[in-house]
Amino acid sequence: MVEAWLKRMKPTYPIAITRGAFERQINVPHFPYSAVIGPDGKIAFAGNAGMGEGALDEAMARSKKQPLWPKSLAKINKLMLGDSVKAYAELRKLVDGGKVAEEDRPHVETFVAYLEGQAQAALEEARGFRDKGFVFKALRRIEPYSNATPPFPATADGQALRKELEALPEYKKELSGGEAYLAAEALEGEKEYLEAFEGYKSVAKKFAGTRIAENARAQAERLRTDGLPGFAAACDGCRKGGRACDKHRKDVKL
Amino acid sequence: MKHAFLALALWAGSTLASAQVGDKAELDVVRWYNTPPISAEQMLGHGVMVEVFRTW
Repeated sequence: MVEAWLKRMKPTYPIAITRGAFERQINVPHFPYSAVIGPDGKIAFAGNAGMGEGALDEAMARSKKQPLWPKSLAKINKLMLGDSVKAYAELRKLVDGGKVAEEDRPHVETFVAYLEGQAQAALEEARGFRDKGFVFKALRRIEPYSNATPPFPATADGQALRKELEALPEYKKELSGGEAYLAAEALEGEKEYLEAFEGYKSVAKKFAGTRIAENARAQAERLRTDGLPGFAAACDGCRKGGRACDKHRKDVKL
Repeated sequence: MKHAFLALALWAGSTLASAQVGDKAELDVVRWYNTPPISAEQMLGHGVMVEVFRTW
């Protein structure tokens, strides 16, 4: 869920998940909520967004005037927010060119480990998709890293996975079906359950004999048995029941 | 000035207890998403703006 939000919003500030200690410290009564931490590491403000400007101005006035990461990593840090492969290429240029200042070395190592870890995580996720019969998702996840120049440590395995996927007998159908499946999945994400059902059903029929068709059939069946087709987001009955109410329910067939 | 503070968004877990303005912040991060891990030492000396969100 967080990854999807990141892809959509492309925030230029760090995003993290916590165990909850900080939220308990500032007694978060609702979301979103905000806080300011001063340069001394102490909580300077906790309250509604936009209300802490005084505390923020004060914290800013006392704050260090340099970035969190060394200047040599500024461009890479920016690239990292949108394009890990480009960021890694820049980073390798810096490292392989022997241009890393001694004091920057620990930060550079952190960046290398982070980016290589992302590539490895993508590979593992892609393998997971393959195992579940989502060829299109697997390919999309590993593609940037399997084509990367210079290569990541995970690139060779990524290329092997691509070859394995491309060798599947119904590879092209799996890809086309996968794309249509994603469209149905997006509709489901928008609570357009009837349209999502039809989308899954169409994939199940049109790409019969593929793994993606099996997955699509299972999703359509799930929507049907959960009573979701016809769900109206503006209807109190639908919202309260978490399924289409008697008035809105559509009896659909697979 | 652009880099003088760090804007940080947190996805929250459960919440309770009382506000502790003036206490040392405990940013118990489990996972960083779009950045290499930022340590408490790195943040020290910087003003940090935190937005707390929650997933549903």
